[in-house]
Parts: sequence; structure tokens; C-alpha cells
Amino acid sequence: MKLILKFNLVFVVVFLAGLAAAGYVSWTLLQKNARDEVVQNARLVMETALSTRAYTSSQLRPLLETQMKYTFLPQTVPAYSATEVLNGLRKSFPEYRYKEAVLNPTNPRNRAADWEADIVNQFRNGPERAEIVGERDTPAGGAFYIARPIKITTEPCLYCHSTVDAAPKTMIDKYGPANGFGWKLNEIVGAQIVAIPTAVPLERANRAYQTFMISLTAVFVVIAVALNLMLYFTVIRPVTQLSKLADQVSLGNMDVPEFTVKRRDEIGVLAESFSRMRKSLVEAMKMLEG
Amino acid sequence: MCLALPLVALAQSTATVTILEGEAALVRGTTRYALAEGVHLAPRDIVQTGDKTFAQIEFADGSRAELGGKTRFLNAVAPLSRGTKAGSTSDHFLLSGLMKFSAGKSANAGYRYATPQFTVTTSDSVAVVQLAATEASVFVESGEVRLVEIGPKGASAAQRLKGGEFYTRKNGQKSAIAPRPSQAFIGTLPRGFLDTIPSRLSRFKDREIAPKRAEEITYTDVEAWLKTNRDVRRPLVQRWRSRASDPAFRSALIVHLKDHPEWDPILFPEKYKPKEDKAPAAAPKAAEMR
Repeated sequence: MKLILKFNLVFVVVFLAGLAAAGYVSWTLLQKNARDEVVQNARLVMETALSTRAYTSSQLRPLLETQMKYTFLPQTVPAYSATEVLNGLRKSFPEYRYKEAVLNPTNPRNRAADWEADIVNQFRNGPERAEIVGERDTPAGGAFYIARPIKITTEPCLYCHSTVDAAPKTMIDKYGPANGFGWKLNEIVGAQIVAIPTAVPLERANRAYQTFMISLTAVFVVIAVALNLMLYFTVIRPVTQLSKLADQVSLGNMDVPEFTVKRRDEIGVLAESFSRMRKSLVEAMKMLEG
Repeated sequence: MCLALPLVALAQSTATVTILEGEAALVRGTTRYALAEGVHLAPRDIVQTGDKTFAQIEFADGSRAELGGKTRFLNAVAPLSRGTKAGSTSDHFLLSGLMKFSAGKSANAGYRYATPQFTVTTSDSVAVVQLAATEASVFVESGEVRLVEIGPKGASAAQRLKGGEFYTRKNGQKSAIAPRPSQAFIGTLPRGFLDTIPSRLSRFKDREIAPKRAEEITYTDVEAWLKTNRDVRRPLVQRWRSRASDPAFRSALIVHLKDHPEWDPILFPEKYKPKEDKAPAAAPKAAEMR
């Protein structure tokens, strides 16, 4: 088996083993990082919603109080404004879904679905929980979600949700007296939920993984080519030439040209040693013939 | 019914036009002026707005009157009633159009604004009055008002309107009070009526802005005032009697004399000269019958 073949066999085995190990480690890390990134983005979405809610209740609503005496403006409701702002965000990031899921909402679009109601009840049963992160199966595939409780912490919230009599008349005109009342201070009435299909982080991880593995393979190929060229020109070719020269000398052909190598490495030392050996052999032959 | 507005000239102006969007005329004495922002209104000044005009008049005590399009408003500024301390109350008269009156914040203040159909008295309310061709309406945005209807038989019993209630009275019909204003009514209101606009009085506090003189009033300019309630139009006879010397004004007065018979002694004084063989002052009393 030729030297270069042995070398390449070893190289390929090491390469494949290294690629497999690197692939496993990188796949695990990339998936984790992709999930972490999605969680962070989801938290950013959640914070955006909270900021919108605070802005609406502290700055927007007071400005529109007079108008509210004529016509109910859902834009003054923190939940409505947060949902609308994030619906606008979804035009650029359609994979993110935001909902303020409430067990007994005024606006029907905020009514919690079964799985959302389960999350709300988890918060209600464990008020110390600040956040729930999880995954669930849906007909469209897996979905990743992050949820935070909606807790009534200030009296102004109850202005619209305590009793029908206390609520703005214009709100009753719009939504009726049946839903969204009976809320109590410090009660958890719903949950903010940001949901993303599981395919989103996996897709991101896959893209990063493919890029990494293709890059790693390309680096190995370049290294293999460089090592083969170096091996051929620095070792295999001069050794082959030296071997042919030695064959000619061993057959008594002393007229073959000198093997001249101007190198100071091991091959150069071998060439010099071979020249000296050849000269010694020629001298010895002359002495025997004389 | 006691709608005798005490049109007593006050020494100093207490009202300022702080917002004017669109055109409006100011009738002061016998002259018509082009109204402008910053103009201080004197007692008995009449403001007549254009089709789509929005104007805000702020009074020294913090109260304000916002006027919509096609509105005729008489700034009376005078004591409300005999039993009230002078200077603590104000009277205004709305002949037609839209007005939103907001009471000032000072304690013990009382306000009365009269219309041909009713008078409204209040101390702490914000209310919108609409006098359309076929009906008159009042929406109490906040606070409480006392409304007294004026009919052919005089004033009716006072009605109390609470915040949010909507009073309507169609021509020739009985009035009705609804818990909410109609959408048709809300639809007619200028946007400025739906918001609480910050005060702009300080901008014009120390500035003297004179309205631009247009011309002497014509009969058409003040026809509606000449034909309104007797208690309002009677003081206007003295105010505008000098215009009777204008041929066009005089001829129009004569044509419509049956609508304002109090002008008869001005137009035909010879009829009222005492005659030796008849009892004096019989004719003037007859002129005041209407």
C-alpha cells in the first residue's frame, strides 16, 4: 500500500470522526441557542406589549376620556392597544403570535381557548409563578409558547370590569353587560401568551448547522489537498527518484547522473548520504579491479 | 318666564376668543367685524360662526364656550339672578347652532345659558346644546344641569339632567330624556367638542387684538336676532335703533314689522306722539303685547 494512500485513509477516518463529533456538539448547541434566542425574542415581544399597555393606560387614555363619554374607543383599552401594536409587528414577523387570553373578557376576541385557559389556571393556582415556557402540539405542528399572568394590581383596571353600573356607559353600548365584569383586585384574570411554531427555532438551527458543516467539510478538503500536495512534492517524489537512482546503481550502472537536492531537511540529508555511498562504492570497485 | 337678560355693559372684558378655525363674525354695537383669535369679547357682543367654523371662547373664571358651525351666540356676562351675588354667575344666549359649555372650577359659581326653547342652569357641568331646525338637544357630558323649557304658556317645571343623559325636544312635541346620546347627534359634533382642549387663555392675556372692521350691520346679518324671543330682542331695539335711518335696513324692518312690533315706535314715531284728545302711552303698550 502506497504511502499516500495510507496517509489519506488515516486522514479520511480522522476527518469523518471529527466531523461527526463536531456535528453532534454543534447541532446540540445550535438548537439550544436557537431556542434561547426565540425565548429572548418572545420576552422582547412580551415587554413591548407591557410597554404599550402602560403607555395606553397612563398617557393615551387620559387624553381620550372626553371622547369616551360620547363613543367607546377600544384604543383606550391596554389589552386592545397591545394586541393591535403586535398585530402590526406581525406584518414583519408573521411567525410570532400574541394574545391576551382572559377567562372572562369584555372583548370576545380575548376569550381564552382551552389550552390557554389551562395556562391561566396554572397561574391562578400558583400565583408565585411569573412565567411559563412550554411546547404544545397543534394541527399545524409543534408550537412553542411563553406566558405571563395578567393580574389586576390597580383600581383603575376595575373601572371597566368591576360592575355593570360602574363601567362606562359607552362600553356597555359596544360590548353589552354580559361579559367582562366581576374582576377583583389582585386577581389573575388571564395571561399574556406569545406563541411561535417549533419549526421556527428548528429551521434556524438547521440553517446554522448546515452552514457550519459545509464550512467544516470545505476546510477539511482544503487541508487534505494541501497536505497531499506537500506530501507528494516534499517526500514522495524525491524518494521515488532516489529509489530509481539506487536501482540503477545496484545494477552496476555507475554512469547515472547525480541526485542533486539542495535541501537541508531529512530528504536532503538522505540524498547527500546516498551520493557519498555511491562515491564510496565506485572507489571500492576501482580498488577491486586494480 | 324670566328670561330678561340683564344686558348691562361691564367695564372690563371677561371673555376671549382663544381658538378660531374658520370664519366668524363679531357684531358689536351696530358694526360687523371679522372675528380673530385673541379678540376680547365685551358684554352684549354677538358671535356668528360660518358653516364649518369651530371657535372657543374662554372666560376669566375658567368657564368656556365652544361653538360649532352656523352658530349665533350672545355673550351677555351678567349676574344670573336677583338672589345671586354679582360677578359669581354668567348669562349667555344661544340663538341657534351648537355650543359646548364647560363650567369653571371656582366654587360657588353659577351659570345660565338660555336658548329660545329652554334655559339651562348649572354650577359644575359640561354640556352640549344643539339647536337645529327641527329639534333642540342637550347632552350632559359630566355634572348635572337644571333645564327649564320655554313654551307658549311660559316656563315649565325644572328638569334635572345627570351626566350622560340626553335631552331632546322636537318642534311641536314633548321632550324626551334618553340615557345615551344618539349616534346622529354625536355625528354632528365637531371633533373639538369631543376632546378637552387645554386652555389657551394665557397666550392672549396681555395682548390687545382688535377685530377687523367689516361694515355696518345689515338687516340680514341680524334678522334672526330681531325675530327671536321678545326678552332678547327688546334690548336690541335701543342698540340698533340708529340703523333705522339706513333706508335698506328701515325698509326691511317695515316689511317684517309683524315679527318685531317693538320697532314700530322707532319707525313711525308720529303714531306715538301724544294727542290732546287721546290718552297718552296707549299705543306703546299695544306694541309690547307681542
